[in-house]
Amino acid sequence: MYGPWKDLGVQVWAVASNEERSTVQNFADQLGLDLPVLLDEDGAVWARYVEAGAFPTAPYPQEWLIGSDGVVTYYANQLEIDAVEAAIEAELAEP
Amino acid sequence: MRLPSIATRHRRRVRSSLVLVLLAGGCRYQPADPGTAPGTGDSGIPSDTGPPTGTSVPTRYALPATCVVADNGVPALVRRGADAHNTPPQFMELVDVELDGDVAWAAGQGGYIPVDVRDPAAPRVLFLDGNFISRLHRVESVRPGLLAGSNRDEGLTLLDVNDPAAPVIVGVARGTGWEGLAAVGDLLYVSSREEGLLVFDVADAAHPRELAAVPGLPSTWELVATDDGWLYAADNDLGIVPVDLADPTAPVVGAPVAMPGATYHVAVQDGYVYAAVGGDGVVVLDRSDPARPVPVAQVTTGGTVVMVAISGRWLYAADHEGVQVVDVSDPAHPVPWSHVETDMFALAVAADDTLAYVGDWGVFETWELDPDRRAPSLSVPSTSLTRVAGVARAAVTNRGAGTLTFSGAVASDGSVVEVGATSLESGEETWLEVGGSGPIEVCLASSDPVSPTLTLKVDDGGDPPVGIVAPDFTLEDLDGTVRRLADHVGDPVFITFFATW
Repeated sequence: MYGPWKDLGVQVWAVASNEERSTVQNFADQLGLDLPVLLDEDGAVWARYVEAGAFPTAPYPQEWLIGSDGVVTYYANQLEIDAVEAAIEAELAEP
Repeated sequence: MRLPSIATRHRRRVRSSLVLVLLAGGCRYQPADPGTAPGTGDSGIPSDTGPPTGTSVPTRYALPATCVVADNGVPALVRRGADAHNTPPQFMELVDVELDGDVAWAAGQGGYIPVDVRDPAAPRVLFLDGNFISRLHRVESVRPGLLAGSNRDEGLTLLDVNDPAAPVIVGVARGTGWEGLAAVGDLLYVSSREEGLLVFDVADAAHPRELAAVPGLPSTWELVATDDGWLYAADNDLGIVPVDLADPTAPVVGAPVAMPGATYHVAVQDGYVYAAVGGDGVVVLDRSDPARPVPVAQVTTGGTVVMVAISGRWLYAADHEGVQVVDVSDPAHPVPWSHVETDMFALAVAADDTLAYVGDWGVFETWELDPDRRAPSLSVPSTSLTRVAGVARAAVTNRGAGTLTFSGAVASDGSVVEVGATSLESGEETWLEVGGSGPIEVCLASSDPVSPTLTLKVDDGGDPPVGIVAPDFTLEDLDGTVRRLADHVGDPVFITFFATW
C-alpha cells in the first residue's frame, strides 16, 4: 500500500508495541500486510517515542517521518497523507 | 496501488490506526470542514447529505451550560442477540457472512462457521472446530447443500453443507490470491489477483473444473452476479468493474468506473449497484446501462465501509466502527437512518429485510431495525480533541433519520461550548468548539438515544517533536529481519506505531 513511497526510497515500517508476536502475526496475516512489521513487545521503543510525542489524550496512532539525516521532519497523531507526502517531497528535494 | 486515507477513531477505546490505514479508502484525507457537505469532493459525485451551502456568515451558538441525561428512547437499530462462542472459548475473527435460509455462514480465521439464526434473539454457532481452520475471505452459497469458500493462501474449497452442523470438504482447487466469489447456476466465478477472473464448473463439486481465466481484475475483493447476465467486481485499484456474462463461460471484462477511494465490496439490487468504498462510505451507481454504471449518490458513515448488504428498502454498511443503515427506497437519494457502534470491528454484514447479521470480529450478532423509528445518530470522528491555537474543534454529524438537537454542554473548567447549529437533520453536519487550557472534559447533551450525554476529552497539543534527533532503536520484524534505525541514515524513514485493538 505504501508502494509509491517505497519507490521513492523511503523506508516504511510499522511498529507494534506492547503486543505479543502471535497476536501481531495473526493481525498482519489477516490483513495481508506487505510492509515490515517491527515487534516492540516490551514497549521500550514506544516509551522513548512517546516521551518525545505531543498528544497525550490520544496515544495511537503515531506517525513519524525521520529525515535522511536522522532528524524528525514530520510528526502527527493521525495519518494525513497530503502532509506526509509534502514532507517526503521536501526531504527528497534537499541536496 | 491507491494510498489509503483515514478517519481516526477513538470512540469508546483507542482503535488501531493501521487497520484503518489499510482498510480506509481514498488518496485524500479531508478533515471535516463546517459548511462542506460530506460526500462532495474531488469525485464530483452528488450527495444529498450535508448542510445547505451558500451561507455567507457563519453562525455560532453558545450551548446552555447544562448536561442532563434525557430518555431519548431507543435507536432505530437494536441488537437482538449475539454468540461469541464462549463455550468452549474460541475466537472467531469473522470477515464475511452469507445467509442461507435458517443458517448464516460466517467465515474468517476460525474457518467455516454455521450459525442457526431462526431465533433473532438467540443466534447459535452450530460448529466450530479448531482443527478445521482455514483462513477464509469469502463464502458463497452455490446451491442448496453446497457452500464455496475462498482462501487467499490456498484457493477454493467446496463444502457439502446438507447438515450445516457437520460441513464436509468435498472439493478443492488450488491457487493463491483468490478472493471474490459469485455463483450463477453451476458456474462459480472467482477473482484471482494473479490470473484475473476464473470460471469454474462446479456441477460436480468433488471435481471443480476451471473453464476460463480472463485477465483484467488486479485486486478484486468481491464479485456479485445479477439476474440479467452481468457481474460486478469490487476492485481495490480499479473501482467497480462490470463484466458481461452474455456467454457465461467466456466473461468479458468491461470498462471500470473509478471510485473516490479503495473499493472493498459490492452489492446489487434491481437497477442499482452499491459499492463499499472505505472512508468514502457507500457509492450508489445507476446500472440502467449495465455496461456503464453511473455514480448517482454517496453516503459517508464516519467509519470505513468494508461491506454492504442490501435487502429491499434497507442498505446496511459494516464500517469497522459499527453498522450504518441507509434508506434506499429512492436509491439516487439515500437517507442515513441509523448508525450504531458494535463492540469490536464490524467487518461483515448480511441482511434480510429488517434483520441484519453482523460479523463483529469475535462475535456474531443479530440486529433488528424498526422501520418506523426515526431517531438521530450523533457521530463525531473522535472523543479526544486537541486544541490548535487555543481552540479545540470537532465535526458533529447526524447519521440517523430523526432530528438531532443539542440541549446543552458543560466544560469541566466552565469554558463556553459553541456549535454552528443547534439542531441537525438527517445527514447534516456542524462543528463544536471549546477553548480553555490544559486537560478538561466536556459533557454534551443531545437527543441521541444511544449517548444522551457524550463525554469529550480535550487537551492542548504539545510542541511537535520536529527537529529532534529520532531515538535510535533495533527491533526484529515478523520475518526475522533485524532492523536498526541508524542503519538507514541517508533515506527518509516513515514509522507508524499501531495497535491491533
